[in-house]
Amino acid sequence: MSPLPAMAVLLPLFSALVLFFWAKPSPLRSGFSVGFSVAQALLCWWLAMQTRHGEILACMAGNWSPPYGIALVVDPLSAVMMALASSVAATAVLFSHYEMPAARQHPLRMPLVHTMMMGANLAFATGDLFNLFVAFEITLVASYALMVIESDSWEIRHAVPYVAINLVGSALFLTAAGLVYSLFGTLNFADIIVRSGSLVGDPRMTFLVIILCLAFSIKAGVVPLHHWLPNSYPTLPPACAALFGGLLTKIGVYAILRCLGTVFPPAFPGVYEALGWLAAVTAVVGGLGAVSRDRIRDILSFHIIGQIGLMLLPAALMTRGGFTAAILILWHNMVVKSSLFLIGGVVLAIHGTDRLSKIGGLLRASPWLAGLFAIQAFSLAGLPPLSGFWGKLLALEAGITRYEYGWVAAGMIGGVLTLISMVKIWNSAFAAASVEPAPTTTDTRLWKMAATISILCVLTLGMTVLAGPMVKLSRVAAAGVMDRTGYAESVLELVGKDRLGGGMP
Amino acid sequence: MTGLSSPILRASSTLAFFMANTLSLYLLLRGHHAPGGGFIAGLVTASSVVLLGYARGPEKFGRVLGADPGLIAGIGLAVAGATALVPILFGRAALEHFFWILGNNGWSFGTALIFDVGVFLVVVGVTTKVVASFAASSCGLPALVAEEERRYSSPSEEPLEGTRAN
Amino acid sequence: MQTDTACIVAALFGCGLYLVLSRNLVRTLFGFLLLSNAVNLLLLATSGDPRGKEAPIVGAGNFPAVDPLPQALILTAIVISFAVTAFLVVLVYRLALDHGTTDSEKLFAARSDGEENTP
Repeated sequence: MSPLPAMAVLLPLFSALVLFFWAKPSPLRSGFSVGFSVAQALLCWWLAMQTRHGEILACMAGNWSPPYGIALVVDPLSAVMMALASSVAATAVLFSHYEMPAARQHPLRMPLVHTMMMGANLAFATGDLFNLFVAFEITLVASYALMVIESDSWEIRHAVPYVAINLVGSALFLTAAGLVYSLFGTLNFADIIVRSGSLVGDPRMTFLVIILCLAFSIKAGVVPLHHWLPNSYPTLPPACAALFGGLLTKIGVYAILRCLGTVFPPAFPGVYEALGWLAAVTAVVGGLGAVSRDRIRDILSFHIIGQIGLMLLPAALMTRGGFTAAILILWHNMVVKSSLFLIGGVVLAIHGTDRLSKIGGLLRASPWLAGLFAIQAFSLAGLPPLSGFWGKLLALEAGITRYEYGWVAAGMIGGVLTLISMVKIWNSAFAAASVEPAPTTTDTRLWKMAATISILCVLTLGMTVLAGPMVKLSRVAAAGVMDRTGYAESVLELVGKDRLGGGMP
Repeated sequence: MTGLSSPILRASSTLAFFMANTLSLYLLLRGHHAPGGGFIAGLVTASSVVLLGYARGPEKFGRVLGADPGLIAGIGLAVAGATALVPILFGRAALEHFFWILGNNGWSFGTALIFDVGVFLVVVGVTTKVVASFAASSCGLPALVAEEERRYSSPSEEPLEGTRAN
Repeated sequence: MQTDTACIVAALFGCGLYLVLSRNLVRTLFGFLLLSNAVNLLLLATSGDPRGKEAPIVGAGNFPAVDPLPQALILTAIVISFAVTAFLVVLVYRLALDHGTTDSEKLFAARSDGEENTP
C-alpha cells in the first residue's frame, strides 16, 4: 500500500482550490501556480523512478475491497504518462505566466488547469472503470470551461461541437461501464481480469469491447469521429492549446491501450483489425488535413489526429513490439506536440497572426525560435537522429514482422504528410522572406516564452540522447500493460489485509 | 423584474426555509446508517435557498446566503478533500473513515460525517450559484454580483447582460 | 421486468440520439438530457431484477436485498450530468444572446471559415 498514487491526485486538487480562493491574479499567485505544478511534476517523476523496473504501486481508497473500493494502480506506463503530462502542464503554466501581464490574466484559468491535471492524473492512476469515467469527466468539464472563458462570441461557437460530441462519448462510456458491471459484477480492472477468463468467446464481451473502443475513439479523435478537434483547438489560447494537445486525446489513447492490453483478454481479432484500419485512415486523413491548412494552429490540430492514428496503428497489432512502439510514440508526442503549440503561440505573439501567407522571415528575426521549431518539428516528423525516429522504427519493425503491409504503408504516408506540413510551416514562416517585415520587438516576454519552450526541447533532446534507455523503458511499460496476471495479483494482494479501520457498510 | 414575488410567498418563505433546513440537518446527521447523507441534505437545503431567492427577487438572489455560493462550494470541496488527505498523513489509506461509539446512550460519531458536510456544502454552493446566475441573467441583470465579477472575470471581458442582451 | 426496462432504455436512447443530431442546439440539449436518463436507467437495471428483494438498508434485516452499487454509480452520473447540463444551458443561452439564433447552421454559416482569431 503506497500513498503516492493518491497524493498525485490530491496535490493538484489542493493547488486548484487555493488558486480558486486566491482569485486576484498577481505575479506571486502565478509563482504559486508554477511552484505547485513543478512539485506535482517532481512527485510524478519520482513515481516513474519507483516503477521503472516494472513495479506496480497500488492503493485502495478507504481500504475498501472491490467492488466497493476504488483501486489506484500505478504501473510504468501510467507513471511515465503522469510524469510527462505534469511536465507539459508545468511548462504550459509557466508559459501562460509569461504570455500576458499578470493583471490581464483570467482568474479562473489556473484553477481550471490544475483541476484538469487532477483529472488526468486520476485517469492514469485509476484501476477502476467507473472511476476512469469520473476522471474523464473531471478533465473534460475543466476543458469545456477553459475553452469558453477566454473566447469571444465567434470563437465560442466552436465549443458546441466539442461539448456535444464529448457528451455522446461520455454517455457511451457510461453505458459500457453499466454493461461491464452487469456482466462481471465488478468494475475493478483486476477483478475483471480474473473473471473475464471464463467468458472468452462470449459475444457480450465483444460487444462491450466495441462500445468501449468507440467511446475512447471519440475522446482520442479517431477518424471518422474527429471532426470536433481541428475546429475547436485553434480557438484556444496557446498555453491551453498546448495542454489540450499534449494531454486530452492522449488520455483516450492511454485508455484504449489499458483496456485492450490489460483489462480484457486478447481475444478480439475483429476489433483489432477494425481499429487498425481506422487508425490507418486516421493517419492519412490527419496528414492530409494538416497539409491543406494555412494557419499554424490549424495544421498542428490536424497533426494531433494524424499522430493518434500513428499511435494506434502499432497498438492494433496487439504484439509486445507493437505496444512498445505505440507507447514510445505516445510519450514522445505528448512533449513535442505541446511545445509546437507553444512555438505557434510565440509566432502569434510576434506577428499578431499565425496565418502562413502573412508571416515570414522568422529565421532571421528570431533564430532561437527557429532552432526550437526545427528540433521539435523534425523530431515529430521522425527524421533519423532525432527522438521521433525510434518510435517510428519500432512501429515499422512491429508491422513488418506481422506482415501488415497495408498498415505500414498508411503509417508511412502519414509520416511523409507530417514531414510535408512541417516543411510547409518552416518554409513560409521561418525560411521565406516576410511579406511584411517582421516587427522587431525588444519585448523580453518573447525571450522568456522561448526559454520556457526550451525546457520541453531539452526533454525531446534528452529522449534523443537517451534513446536506448527510453526504448528500454517503453519495453518495460509495454510488458507491464500486457502482463494481465501480474496486474491482477498486485492489486488483489492488497485486499483482505490491513482492513481493520474500514468503516461499516 | 420580480415576477414570482408575492406577499404570501415572501412571508412564508422564511418559515419554509427554516423548516426545510431542519429536515436537511436530520438527513445529514442520520446519513451514516440510514437513507440520507450530505448529497440529499444538500439538495433539500439548496431548494430552500432557491425558494428564498425567488421570494426576495433576482437582484438579491446571488447573496441570499450572505456569502458567495462559489466560495461555499470551494470550502466544501476543501473539507471533503481534507478527509482524503488527513488519513494519508497518519499512514492510513486515502479517504479511510473511522467510527466511534460515544458512551452507551446510542450516540456515535464517524469521520464520514465530515466528508458528508463537505459534500453538503458543495451541493448547496453549486446549486445556488447555478440557479442564481440563471435567474439574474434571464432577467437582464448581470449574472454575477459586482464582487464576484471582480473575482471571477478577466479585466478584458465585459458582462454579457446589459451590453448586448435584450 | 428487465425486458420492459430494456425497451424503455432503447426508446430513450433512440429519442436522445435523434435529438442530439438535430440542428437546433436547444434540441441537442434536450437530447443530452434524454441520453443521460437512458444511461441512468440502464445502470439501475444492472442491479438485477428487483422482484422479491428489499431495499438495501442496513438494520432493516430484509434479505435478499438489491445490489446497492449501481445506485451509487447513478448518483455520481447524475451529479456529473447535472454539472454538464448547467454548462450546456448557459452555453446555448449565451450563443442565443450573442447571435440571436440557436440554429447551428445559421450560427456557423456567418463567418464560416477563414476568419482570424483574436491574437
